[in-house]
Amino acid sequence: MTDREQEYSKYLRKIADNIDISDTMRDKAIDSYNAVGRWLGDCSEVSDLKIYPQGSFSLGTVIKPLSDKDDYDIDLVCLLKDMHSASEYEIKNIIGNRLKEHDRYAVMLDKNEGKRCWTLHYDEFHMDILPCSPKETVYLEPYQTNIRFTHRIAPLKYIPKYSNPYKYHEWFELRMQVRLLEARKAFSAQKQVDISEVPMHVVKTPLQRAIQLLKRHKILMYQDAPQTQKDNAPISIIITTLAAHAYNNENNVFEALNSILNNMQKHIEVRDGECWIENPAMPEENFAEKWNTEPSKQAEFARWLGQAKKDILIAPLGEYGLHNIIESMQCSFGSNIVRKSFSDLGYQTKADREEGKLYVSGLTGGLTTSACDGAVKVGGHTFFGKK
Amino acid sequence: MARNKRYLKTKKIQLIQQAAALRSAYPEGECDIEKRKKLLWDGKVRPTPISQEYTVSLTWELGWAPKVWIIGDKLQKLDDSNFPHIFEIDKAKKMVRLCLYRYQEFSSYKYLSKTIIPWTIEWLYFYEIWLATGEWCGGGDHPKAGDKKDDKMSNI
Repeated sequence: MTDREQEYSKYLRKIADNIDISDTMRDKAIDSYNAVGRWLGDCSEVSDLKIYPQGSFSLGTVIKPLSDKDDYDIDLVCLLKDMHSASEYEIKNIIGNRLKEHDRYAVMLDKNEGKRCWTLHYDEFHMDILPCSPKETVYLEPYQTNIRFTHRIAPLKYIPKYSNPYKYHEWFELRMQVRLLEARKAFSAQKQVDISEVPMHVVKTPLQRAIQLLKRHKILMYQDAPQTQKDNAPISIIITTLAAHAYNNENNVFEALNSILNNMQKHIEVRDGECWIENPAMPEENFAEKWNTEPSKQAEFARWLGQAKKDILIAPLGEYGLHNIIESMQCSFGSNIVRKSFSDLGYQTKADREEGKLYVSGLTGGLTTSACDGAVKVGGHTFFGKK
Repeated sequence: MARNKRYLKTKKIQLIQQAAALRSAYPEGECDIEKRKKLLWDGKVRPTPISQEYTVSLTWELGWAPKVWIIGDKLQKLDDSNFPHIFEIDKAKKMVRLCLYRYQEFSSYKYLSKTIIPWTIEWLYFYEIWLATGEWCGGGDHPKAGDKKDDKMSNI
């Protein structure tokens, strides 16, 4: 990796941090779904209920909505552990009815029943609650974790569908194992806590950051696109799965993105003439199933991928000058976030100097916090003069 | 009194020593001494690997504050009334003279190579961010209206 790529990566990482969900919001969401879980579990028909996040909230790839008007989308699995033999109708409605019994949840509940979920609207986020039961007689982590959820095909008429969010999460962690372990070790050493007690959300790998950046790029690319293009935009689970496949435990965000954007396409298989992106947690599920009946979805994926390569890997590195790079990154990640991220690192540089941690590496090597050979420490001073 | 004692113990750095230190720390720069009393230094500076390269010209005449100019077409927003931390702008020649320190932060007891040059590199870094964001992240002071700015160094 060149010096330029390494430097550019610092800013990508900062942008990823700035589009991540805030700690306050995450805690609020966790408190809220635990409260929902307690209410749902506290009724005579349900004896053993487990509520847990799935999707980006569980994978650490949530991103802030584009504007304050939009809200976070939090996907939850609501597993009725002892209802293996219940009908789909029972599974879906036992949860729906219980939500309607609660004064506040009844008001927050979306009036339209979702195909698979019940949706609760909070001020800053909405929760999609997926009622389900174990697919097999017993649900036992980490051995037997398939779930059966319900899919509404007509009013009051449901068919079973299957999934395995637990196993997907396990697979995702495995794909970034090296960097995850490294980050957990660093956190446990710094905070003096046992490594087993390091919560998943406090550590972040280049894979997670790369996915957050790719999702952000996608949202911005389709923000003002015609509805037909928007409808065919690549879905998050495809971006996440292909990115995790293509990731090789690179240790910085630029290298991760470089590897992902140049290799993710290789993980799309063709089986009997059909496109396949296998769900790693359930091999019979094809995430790209719709591509085979709606080819414009596949074409749109290719278009997004080409654009992302150009916007993220090529254009900014063709520029010289932080101001020109900021300009070139704005279309990928949004102007406010990009400018804020560069300013954040600017203030960090000032703080580093004040703490005696800033050096210059020759005339063209740039500012650095590592005291390498020949580097000159930037001593304390006060910029002066008129504005 | 304590301050005076300290200065008595420390020797002023001779121009020739300043030049030697500059040449050693930044071999790519060019350094000359004119008539034994004026140091001239020129160099190309890139504040980060993804930044532009700027032409820097430094002159220092004994008894006066060092003058640091950034010169060339890479300079932008020369018309901006908020242009940060400078003494003067010469729009015709496309050059700005930087204001890098306050009072005693530099004196002839300190090396240019360890003060003025790193501060210039740092100024250019904050300048590029300012160009795109309008925000100066490097901190600093602005003298109040009426404050006299003097190029004459008080402690030389």
